[in-house]
Amino acid sequence: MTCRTRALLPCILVVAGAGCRSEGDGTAVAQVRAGAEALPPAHAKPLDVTLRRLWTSEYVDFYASSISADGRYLSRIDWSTGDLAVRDLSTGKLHRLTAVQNEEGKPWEDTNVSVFSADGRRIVNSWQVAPDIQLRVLDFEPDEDGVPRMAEPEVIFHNPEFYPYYPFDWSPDGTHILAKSYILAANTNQLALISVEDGSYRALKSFDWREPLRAEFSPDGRYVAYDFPPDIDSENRDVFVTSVDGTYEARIVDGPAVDRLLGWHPGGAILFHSDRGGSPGVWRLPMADGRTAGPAELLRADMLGVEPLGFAHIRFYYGVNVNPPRLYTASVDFESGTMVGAPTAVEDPARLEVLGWAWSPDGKFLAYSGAVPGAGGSLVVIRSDRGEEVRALRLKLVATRRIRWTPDGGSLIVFARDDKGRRGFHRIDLETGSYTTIVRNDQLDYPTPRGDFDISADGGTIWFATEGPDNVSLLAYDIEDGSSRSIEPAEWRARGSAIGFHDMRVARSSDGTTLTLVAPDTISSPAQSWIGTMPVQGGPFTPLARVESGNLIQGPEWSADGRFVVFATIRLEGEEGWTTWIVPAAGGDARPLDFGEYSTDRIRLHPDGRRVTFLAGESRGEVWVMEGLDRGGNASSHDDGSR
Amino acid sequence: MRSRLLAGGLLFAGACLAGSPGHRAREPYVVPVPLGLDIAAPVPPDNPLTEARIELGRALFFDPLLSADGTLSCASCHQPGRYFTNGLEQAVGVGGREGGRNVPSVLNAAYGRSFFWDGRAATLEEQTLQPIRSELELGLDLDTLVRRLSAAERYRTGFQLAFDDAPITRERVARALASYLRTLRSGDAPIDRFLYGDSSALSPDARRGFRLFVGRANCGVCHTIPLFTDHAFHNTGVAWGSADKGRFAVTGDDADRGAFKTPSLRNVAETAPYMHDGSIASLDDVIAHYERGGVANPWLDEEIRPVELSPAEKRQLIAFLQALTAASQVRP
Repeated sequence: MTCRTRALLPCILVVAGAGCRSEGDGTAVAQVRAGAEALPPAHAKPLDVTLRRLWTSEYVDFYASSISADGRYLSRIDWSTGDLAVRDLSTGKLHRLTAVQNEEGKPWEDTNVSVFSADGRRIVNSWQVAPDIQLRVLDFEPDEDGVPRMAEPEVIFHNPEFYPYYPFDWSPDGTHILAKSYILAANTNQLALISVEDGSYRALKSFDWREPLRAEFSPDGRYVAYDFPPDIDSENRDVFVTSVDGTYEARIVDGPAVDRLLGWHPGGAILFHSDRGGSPGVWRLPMADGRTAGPAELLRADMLGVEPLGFAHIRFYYGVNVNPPRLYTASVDFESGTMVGAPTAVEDPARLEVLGWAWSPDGKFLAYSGAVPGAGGSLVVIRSDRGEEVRALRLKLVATRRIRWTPDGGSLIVFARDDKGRRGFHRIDLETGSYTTIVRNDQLDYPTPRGDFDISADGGTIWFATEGPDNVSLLAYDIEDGSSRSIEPAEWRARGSAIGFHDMRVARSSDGTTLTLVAPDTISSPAQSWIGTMPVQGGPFTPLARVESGNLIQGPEWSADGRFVVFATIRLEGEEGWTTWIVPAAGGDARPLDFGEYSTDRIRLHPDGRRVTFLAGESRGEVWVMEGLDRGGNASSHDDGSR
Repeated sequence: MRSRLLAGGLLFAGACLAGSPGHRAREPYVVPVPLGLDIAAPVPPDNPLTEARIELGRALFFDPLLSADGTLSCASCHQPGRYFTNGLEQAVGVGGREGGRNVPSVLNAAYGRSFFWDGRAATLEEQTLQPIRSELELGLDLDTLVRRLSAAERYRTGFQLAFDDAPITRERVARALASYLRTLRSGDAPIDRFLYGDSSALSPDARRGFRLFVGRANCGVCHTIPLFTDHAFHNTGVAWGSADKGRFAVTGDDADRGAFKTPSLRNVAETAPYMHDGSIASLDDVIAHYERGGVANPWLDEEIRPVELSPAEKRQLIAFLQALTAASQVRP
């Protein structure tokens, strides 16, 4: 927790005092953090390690990356194509290793998490061939100039029942992959050992809907370390070690803190990140033969958001995303399509990684949700328009990306995962902070993949799209009695799943009569998507704007007066950012909205009809290396960089 | 008598397997893991798995010497031919006394996190002695047990082989029994074969039943893969109002009133009757119980709600539950 957050906490406490206690699941932020602050650190004197920043660039999903054995290359996703790529940190150049050819009508393919082998000669990666996930291995062979050759990957594992979406590590002998695997049908995560030679899969350990965030082999390959919540209701994490033969397991890092495994140093110690003692820091725990061999030692304090990239030689590489996107509010002239004045940043003491946001129907409050960087759990923050009142609710719901206020302003409806990892629609009582489930995906005939939805003017119905193997529907779901009916246009139903509006986004006009939708059309050639409207009770679809394939779409949203529909697009290939468009609901040409230097994919319109709130920012990714891990003892330390 | 001969033979066989005096029998033993089960099944550091301890525990498990009147053994209730249950509503101890609770299978006990229906034992070592001394079960006080075992040459030899020195203690009895129980693993059911790549392993009805099980019927929220138990305690209303308070008797927490440990559903189609008191005779009746939403009471688990199932869906659920039966019985 940064000093800035500490200073602001009393404000949150004072304002939210009446709402901190709840009968339900909501828990005030202060209560949760007090436990961590009370714990004295095991060793408060930082050891002699140095930090060096190696590279700075655009935002990177470091969770999906790893460092090569020589520390020169960083594996990652090429977001423009979905290919596996490496960044040469010495030159800054990005080199693709694969050449995926995504075509309309074929299952989408792209890479996800990748890991270098210990010798740096191979890379394992999880590869999506929608809807399945495979594990693939390819050879990594840079030429004499250090430019890697493109390689043909080998599929080593493919079973539609298992999603090995997160390869964590190679065994030291290179024969097995340690991977986090998800059994979709059973909502269960496993640590699995997958043979590189024959793809045989063995479950080392099964969990439930909860998951380890990281796992690694010990240097001798006999043990696996991983982090996991200590109890079913806990938002803390501990670090565990289990033997590969299954006979031994121990909890090696515990306490009322969020302890995340960072890695197993080649010299034998475990590195972990913890918020113990009230400050996020990197710690080292000596280990021998799978057991602790001394107390934990603080390596460096005040390190937030550390994403491990692995070890090269004996140095620890990690990534940090700095300056994450934040919320802004701006006034907009919809007639001219321009911003009026400069946007204003929404003050956020918790500095959440914001996922979703929405204005209350009366425009007096902004609700936004997100994860607390470097800590467990997620928050929903209710903030008055001018910021004089702020409440933070800690919920047992995660990934609350979709938020809508009920028309009476007394609760929020969200699409999120509940405390058992099940996706669904939930109502959050703003008075008590508790939530009740409206309906879960597993209770529907077919699930809603993305949970984009809106709620009727009377608060009794929610609309969302569901997708089955050969059936997609736009459902009007009655919150009271749980009944539902399909309201998609009849002609879409006749065309069946070819319409593919599984990416459908839906928003209701303020007068409650009309929905605006995104409806991808994969039958027409070339494929395209439509932004359009239809009556809330069902009926014909009126197209307003056509979007060519090769674009991602966010939105749409209605302007407060119902005259305009707003949506955003971005080309999948290319360096351009998002473009926000407005199109008259009565028909006419779509015009880009000029947001100046700000590129944003999602905007929410304020009920006053003049303002919008959007997420934007110049997020940067930085690669750092921690050196001196084989040293110890003195408190002096220096670093070369701004951290 | 037959059991004693069997037990003696097993010990003798164990000694013969040792090769050079006891060396091989004391080497770490790694239990084969059936398809579908986890590799990780930790063994306490003070009770490493060895062939000698396993064989000793096996002999004890089947020996009626462990009961007060010499008529019952652990295997009398945990019958290998019945997937280590007894097929009755409740356990029956010496003198025909009823134990009050249904006999849980000990298959896959190696993966357990707590033991007994109320979870009062945290480890297998802690669990194994309790039925021996319980007056409702084997009814033998532990000092007498130790004297009996010490008087038997085959056990003096067996304990010497398993523990490197002479004394027979109650703790060592517990460790030997626990070691044997850790070898009883049951997997390789049709559901495992299906998940691991054989799409034909589940019938169409069983597949739909699987989807219901983890979906609308909400069974999977407590009966989680791979053992089909979350190892936690839930009140489903069974025998609400009876004298048996379940987990509450251990914790004193009101939220645990009437809560009992989620049993594993592996081999469930073969281990009727059901629930902690054996009060539900068939899988049809179990489904009916949950269809009704359990039995209402102030501490009913929040996940227990009425669910409407068609006759076809009930048939599909049962087909799935039948697919949790191992391809072959565990050899004792």
